[in-house]
Amino acid sequence: MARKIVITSGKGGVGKTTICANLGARLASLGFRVCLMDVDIGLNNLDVVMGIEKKVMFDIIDVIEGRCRAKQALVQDHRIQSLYIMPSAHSYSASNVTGDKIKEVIDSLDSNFDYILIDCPAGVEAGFHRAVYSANEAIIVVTPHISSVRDADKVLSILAGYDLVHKSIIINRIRGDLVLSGEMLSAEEIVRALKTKLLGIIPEDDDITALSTVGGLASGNVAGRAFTILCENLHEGTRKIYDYTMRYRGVFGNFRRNLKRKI
Amino acid sequence: MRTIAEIGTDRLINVLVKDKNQSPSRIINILKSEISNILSSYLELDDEIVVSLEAKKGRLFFQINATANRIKEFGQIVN
Repeated sequence: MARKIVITSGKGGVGKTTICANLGARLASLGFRVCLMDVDIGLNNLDVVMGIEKKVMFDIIDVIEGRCRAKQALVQDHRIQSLYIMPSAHSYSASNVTGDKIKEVIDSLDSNFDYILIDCPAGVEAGFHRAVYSANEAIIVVTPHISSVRDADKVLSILAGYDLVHKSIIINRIRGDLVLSGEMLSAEEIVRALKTKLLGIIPEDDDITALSTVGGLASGNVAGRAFTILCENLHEGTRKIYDYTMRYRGVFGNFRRNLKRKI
Repeated sequence: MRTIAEIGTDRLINVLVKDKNQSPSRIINILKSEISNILSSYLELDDEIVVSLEAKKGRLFFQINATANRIKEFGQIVN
């Protein structure tokens, strides 16, 4: 039976899709069978982030409306064999899609995968509830900004009404240099405010932005290491946390910090 | 001088407390009625119970005050 994990945030633009793509790829590269579900109907982007937009033949709406089977709509990743993507529709009125129908599609793939990661739309409207309804775990992505933490807190209070086994947060796009100079909320402060288990920290990394433009995934760079730790925490239940300030401590760290400020 | 992060943390805590504290009078009225119902099963209440809510350092503190004339007799085992 697959672990069905919804990746949500409340606020848009915090990196849900990027985290869904990279976490899925990391899990699949360890040999797990992973399915990435895009349930952001009408505003789908997972196909672009994964670089499979040209391979899409069917989408989740085709499955729901009986034009194809769920397995036929899945697109296999060209890099990792055990990674599949269920694309979403770009132009469709989501009002016709219920949470039950999405759940049916996800449940039909249950036995074929170890992990089903559900990329949730932003906001806390119908799309959010459709995505959460099918999951048994939730990851809330938050950035070190007051607006993002506030929305995450709201999402956590809504999720309390769902029967979820685990709820945890990922702090994304944190900058160690700014935290050390007291110009950005630290991970500890965010965890304290949200009172929720921290699953991982993904530091700000220019490579992620550059790679996502060409449909690439985080590899050996800074964020790549953070994703590896995140993946271990998710699968093995460890509580290792990426040290996002390490690069900016000590003599060389100070130099790097000052250089970054000047640039 | 306080850092930007310290100011941000205070703002964040205030925002979160304010968000959680919305429509407290409605919640307090519902709480009052529920607690009163439960307490009335065990106690002969003297007066209306008082429920107060206070937000301190990012947490909500509920205080419930009730006075009773006597404990109701219940669950007596007859030998």
